[in-house]
Amino acid sequence: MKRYLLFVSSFFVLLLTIAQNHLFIPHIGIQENAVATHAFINGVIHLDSKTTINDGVLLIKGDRISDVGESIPIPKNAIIHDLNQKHIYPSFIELVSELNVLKEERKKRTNQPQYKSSKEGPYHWNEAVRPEYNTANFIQFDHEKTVPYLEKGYGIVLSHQNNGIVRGTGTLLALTKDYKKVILIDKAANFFSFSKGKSNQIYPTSLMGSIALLRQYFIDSKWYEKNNVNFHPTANLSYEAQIANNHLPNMFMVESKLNLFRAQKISKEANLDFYYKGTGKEYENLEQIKALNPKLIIPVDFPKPMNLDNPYDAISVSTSELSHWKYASTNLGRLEKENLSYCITSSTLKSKDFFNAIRSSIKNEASVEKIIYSLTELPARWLGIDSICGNLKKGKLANFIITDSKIFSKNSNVIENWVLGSKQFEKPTEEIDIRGTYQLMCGAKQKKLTVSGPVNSPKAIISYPFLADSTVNGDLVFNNEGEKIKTKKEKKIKTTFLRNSNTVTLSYPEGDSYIRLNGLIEDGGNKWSGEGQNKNGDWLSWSVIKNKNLNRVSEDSNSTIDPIKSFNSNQHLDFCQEKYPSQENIIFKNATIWTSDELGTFKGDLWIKNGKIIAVGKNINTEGSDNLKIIDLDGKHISPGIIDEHSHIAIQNGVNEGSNAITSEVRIGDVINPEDINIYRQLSGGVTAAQLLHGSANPVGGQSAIIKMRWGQTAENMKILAAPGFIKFALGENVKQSNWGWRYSVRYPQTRMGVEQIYYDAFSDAKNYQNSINNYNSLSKKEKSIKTSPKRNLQLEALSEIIDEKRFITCHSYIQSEINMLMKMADSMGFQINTFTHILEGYKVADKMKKHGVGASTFSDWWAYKYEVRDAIPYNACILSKMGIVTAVNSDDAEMGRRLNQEASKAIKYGGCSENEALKLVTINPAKLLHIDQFTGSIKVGKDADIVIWTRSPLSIYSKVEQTYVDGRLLFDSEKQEDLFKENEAKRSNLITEMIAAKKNGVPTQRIKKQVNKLHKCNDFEIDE
Amino acid sequence: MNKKLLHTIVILMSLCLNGVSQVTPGEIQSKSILLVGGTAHLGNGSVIQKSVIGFKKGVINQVADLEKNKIDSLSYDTIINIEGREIYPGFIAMNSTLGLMEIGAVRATKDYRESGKFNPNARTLTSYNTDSRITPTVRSNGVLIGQISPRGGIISGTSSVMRFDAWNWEDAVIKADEGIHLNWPRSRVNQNLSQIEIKKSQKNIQKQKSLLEEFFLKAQAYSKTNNNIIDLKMEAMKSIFNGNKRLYIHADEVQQIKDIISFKNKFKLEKITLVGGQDIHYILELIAENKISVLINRVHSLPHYRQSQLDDSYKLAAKLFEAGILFCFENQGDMEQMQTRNLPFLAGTAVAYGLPYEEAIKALSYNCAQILGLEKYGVLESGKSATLFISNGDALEIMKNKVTHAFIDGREIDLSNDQIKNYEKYCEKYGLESKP
Repeated sequence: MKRYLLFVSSFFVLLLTIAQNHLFIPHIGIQENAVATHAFINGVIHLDSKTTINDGVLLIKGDRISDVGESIPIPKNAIIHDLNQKHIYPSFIELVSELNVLKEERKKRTNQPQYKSSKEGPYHWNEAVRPEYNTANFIQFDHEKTVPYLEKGYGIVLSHQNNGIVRGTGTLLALTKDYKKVILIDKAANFFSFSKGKSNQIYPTSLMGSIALLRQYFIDSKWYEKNNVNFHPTANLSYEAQIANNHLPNMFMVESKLNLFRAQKISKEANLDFYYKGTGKEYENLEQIKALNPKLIIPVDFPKPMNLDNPYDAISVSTSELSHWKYASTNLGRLEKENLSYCITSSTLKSKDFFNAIRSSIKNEASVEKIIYSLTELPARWLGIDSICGNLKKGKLANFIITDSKIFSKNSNVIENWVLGSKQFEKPTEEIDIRGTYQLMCGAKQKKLTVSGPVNSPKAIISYPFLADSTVNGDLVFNNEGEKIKTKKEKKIKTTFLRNSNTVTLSYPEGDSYIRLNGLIEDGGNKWSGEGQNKNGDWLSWSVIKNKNLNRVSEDSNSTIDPIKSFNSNQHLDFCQEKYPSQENIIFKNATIWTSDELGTFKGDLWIKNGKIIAVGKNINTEGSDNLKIIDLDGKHISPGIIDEHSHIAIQNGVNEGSNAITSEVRIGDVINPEDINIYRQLSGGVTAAQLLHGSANPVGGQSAIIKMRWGQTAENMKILAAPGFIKFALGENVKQSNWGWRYSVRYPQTRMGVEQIYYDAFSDAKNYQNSINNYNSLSKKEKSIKTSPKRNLQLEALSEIIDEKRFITCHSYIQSEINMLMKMADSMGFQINTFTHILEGYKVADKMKKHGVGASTFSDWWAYKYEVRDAIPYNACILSKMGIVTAVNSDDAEMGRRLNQEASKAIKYGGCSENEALKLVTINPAKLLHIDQFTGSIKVGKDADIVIWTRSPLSIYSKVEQTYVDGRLLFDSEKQEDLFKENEAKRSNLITEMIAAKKNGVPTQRIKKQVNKLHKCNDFEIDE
Repeated sequence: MNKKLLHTIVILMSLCLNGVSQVTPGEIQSKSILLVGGTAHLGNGSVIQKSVIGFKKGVINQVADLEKNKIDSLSYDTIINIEGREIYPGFIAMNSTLGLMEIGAVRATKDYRESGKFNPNARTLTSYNTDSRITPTVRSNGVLIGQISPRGGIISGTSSVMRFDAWNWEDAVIKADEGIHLNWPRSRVNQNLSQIEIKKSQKNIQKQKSLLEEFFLKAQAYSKTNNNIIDLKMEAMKSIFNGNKRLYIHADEVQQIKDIISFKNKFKLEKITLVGGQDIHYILELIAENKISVLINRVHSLPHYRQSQLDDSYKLAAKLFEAGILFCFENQGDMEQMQTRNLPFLAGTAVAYGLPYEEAIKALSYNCAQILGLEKYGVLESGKSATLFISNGDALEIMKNKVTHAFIDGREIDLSNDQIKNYEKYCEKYGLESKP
């Protein structure tokens, strides 16, 4: 089916391009009917990435290649181009560009947030979703802008409007001056991204929002395709456009490296193939990419070195930035080695940078063959135009380039670029670099001519040596007796120098007059000669001969340093080992073991093996067990790994989808950032698991992710698979937007009254949704065929899961009235609230909470930051706990997360909880709240070996974490940390040194990229304004 | 009978005062008190395991070792046996905004930031709210005095030292207008900006620096004569130059600190203290050489850079101590008012990461008094103010910090607060035992 479509589309292209010539265009003056044939002879013709003809002929007629081969008769009427062993290649195809697209302006912002689309008419409800956008209608033809592409060797460019999540169709441009032939295919590909672009509509504010929007969009368009024609009375132009363009290739602009995996998940769910525009950092996560085998479009904009001579500047640059500078050029080689299919994009690069990037990639094990393939045949195939271009076979479009030497070899250049059979670009000759030193022969005296400065506007200076009487220092001249008599010096003469193409004009003073010379640059710049006039008006002839070229600085930053670089995995991260530690087989002896379980706290032994706790007790018998490590802890303490019920670390691009009041469709699980250093920092504080929560900007927030701190693993591997689904709800000031300023005063709800109604509304909706699905499912096959099938709705689906108690609520809450309200609402809908988080006034309704069966996860002592927390008390955890409510203490803060043991000890100070009870607040209790207590949260045989070794009681402020084990793997070791830190500093220092060396070698620099440490709290809410 | 009556009165009072001020300031010390047997952490770095501490009319008149000296207990009206408990000088919260803001999200309660760039004349003294609901929760953890400081602008204003138990700000003040707070212009430009923005930003930094210099030149000149026309800002600055007021300079980056040192030398400023100093560990020697004291910001803060050593902030205090720099703790930042009660625990973490225990106590008391120029506070010594507290256990250890008595100038203060009252109220409702 797909093949068929491809065939149809390419056939259509063929028709289109041929048909263009037969369109009626009224002509003015006398017609030019002759169609020239060009014959390129004596060339090295690269038919495609694999096949080369060494002494071949290429014949073109009109816009086609009429023949190509070794011994082909050359028609008499052909215009002959003797290539003199120059090279011909098929021209390149760019897949990602904005070339000649009329830029869209952002609309003026309204005073209050815009909740609805400003695009009127039957279109998608979200302004960032615009499949109906057709770039071809917005092409603003400007040949000048195509020149940089032609110079790089491109003949065809896929251009699209870089705006929106669903961006509509891109258009395929031929880089010809003939604007009637500019468009090869008007709709050539669909474009998608996660970035909402210039839409002012508030949804989505976060990456997870973009993901949810796209997922729902694909569901909707499939549903529309299936149902709308028959059952729906009105049309939606967005979905109509999507359906009409379904057959086109889909391009996904990934923009940030981990987004590749996120887009890939959508691709799988929507059953759509994407071509992903990558980031150039694919080598950093190669293992993961390998498993997915995606089709990639790889940029080659390698970073330039930064000015890091100032050590205080250098510390602000992240290790990953430093590392990427060094290893960016290994990317293509690594992809090739792993047999991944990629095309190359370079639309933002200048010709020089593009060629240098490819050259350094080749130096790092990318093959020229594969690179040419990825610039010609493969993109043609991906676009379904391989029947008309991509190589130099007979009948194909005459799109080719001529290079002076083998392409991508040192100093090779594109000297001509032909598109649709006509020359579009020729490398101007004045660009021959004439800088250097010359011997000037004019009259009797020989002089030195030095040409320097910028290549396009060089300056010249004439000088000659003379002997000065001084004998002080310098290049001394001695007489026969060895006495100093004179010094060799050089006299410099100010020279006027003009260059116009290959003509040069020189004038310089001699005596009281000027010598004026004019001549031609010959022999590739090695010789100039001409005539001139002296002071007497006599004509004379002159010439210069080049001695040497200017010492040109190496512009290839990577060439001076080790030629082949090997990137070890996780090298771009701080404190992350190359190999994930293996599961230990250890018995810890003589430890004070805090079990947070039936055994209480006692002195004894603990045995972990294969990721599990296999024995706890006194004098454990380990006879007959091999490879057992015995560690005598000599009175140190062991506790279960700490669990943070409420964390916002490791979340990428927005912790809140803070736009609409209900956003149950968004999922934190989609946007986990496994490279957040805070994961490692939590380990250093003994935290082994956490619930990563959506923020509290709306009554129904997003779905949470429950992870273990498996530092060095992928986002998916961090998730605790056995954990059930959770979702964040929120009440009070945040959802009322009370502290957001005057702009945010229109969204419903603005009061606690409204919050209640929003819930009733949402859950009634969800119940209707459930009913409609149930009703449909109970129909017979025949009945189904004549009825509209219910549309899958991600938002209502999540709410239905809550009603069915398959998804649990963690609700941000402060004031007793709203706590009570939510429990009553849930009662009336027939489900239970799982956890109230923060729950600072929980102590006021502890009896009601107990009755409802809800758990609590609170701050130890926070208060007074908002009006609604003025009655918060640090005794809360203790009261709730004593009332028999499962109670936890949480962080909501990356810093405090690593000191949750201290926070737990506040329950001893405030209210007199026992030490065991206090520790439970951050171990087994949060595990219970998260429904993961059956395998973690306490020290019990059979549970996961998530344990922490402390220097003292885990509740003491003087206690430090010595080791943290997750699944029996040693993921933090305070002793090793010293070494890791030193190694890391050395690694950084090496990179910085290399960067400085590269800079000193004259490599142009880029601005310093400071690391930004974004930390999230619940009420963090960013809108890109 | 007597007790019962008292209980009823207390309940009646709390009913009357519900919603108004919740704790009544302590009465002037009329009866002399002798504390016997406690472990006394004097605040100057020494400790007496079994101590005797007596005070009369608000002044300490005896500090002795029970095991070495014969104790005169007859001259005291009240003798309290505190064997097994700990005594500390009242802890001092430096660079605090307690009493200048009640609720973070409510603008109407904010009184620490004036508009404009140069506000040396803005005084925290008269805005200080003695009836803040937060203060009682702070002093019940041992923090009894605060340097109440302004925020914002280049020169934020003038701080005063206040005692945390008073009827009004006049009663509260220990040292009025003791220091001026200066936010040093940032030295490093955010390099993530565009080229034009970077230039603009650099220009702006230069402009701020020259504005600052101009302001100081003008103030220095003004301070040399008596002026007929009074300029409030210049008047406020006067005592910076004669050494009567301390200049607290808030800065974090190395370049800023270097600039501050040359600024100090240029204007011959004797009393300057650095506040914050995130990058200070790079230039400890320079700070020590120039005898600059430091208020270190939040021991509990995340390492500044991703590649920073994990415990950088925890270890900083120990490093300053080893370098011989006079330092204290401060807590500026998110929720800083309510977090004041956790000040002792910041010191606790510093101890875990290498600071000797008694030095930590010193940094919470004597060091602060030295910087603030308080002669009578911060140390348990004969002749000093009886501002101290007794804790059942180690005051730096969260689970052991249980303040049973606290005295400010000999006045025993009420250790209750709204939170305890709510706790007791609901314990009663649920029939739970309430251990305060």
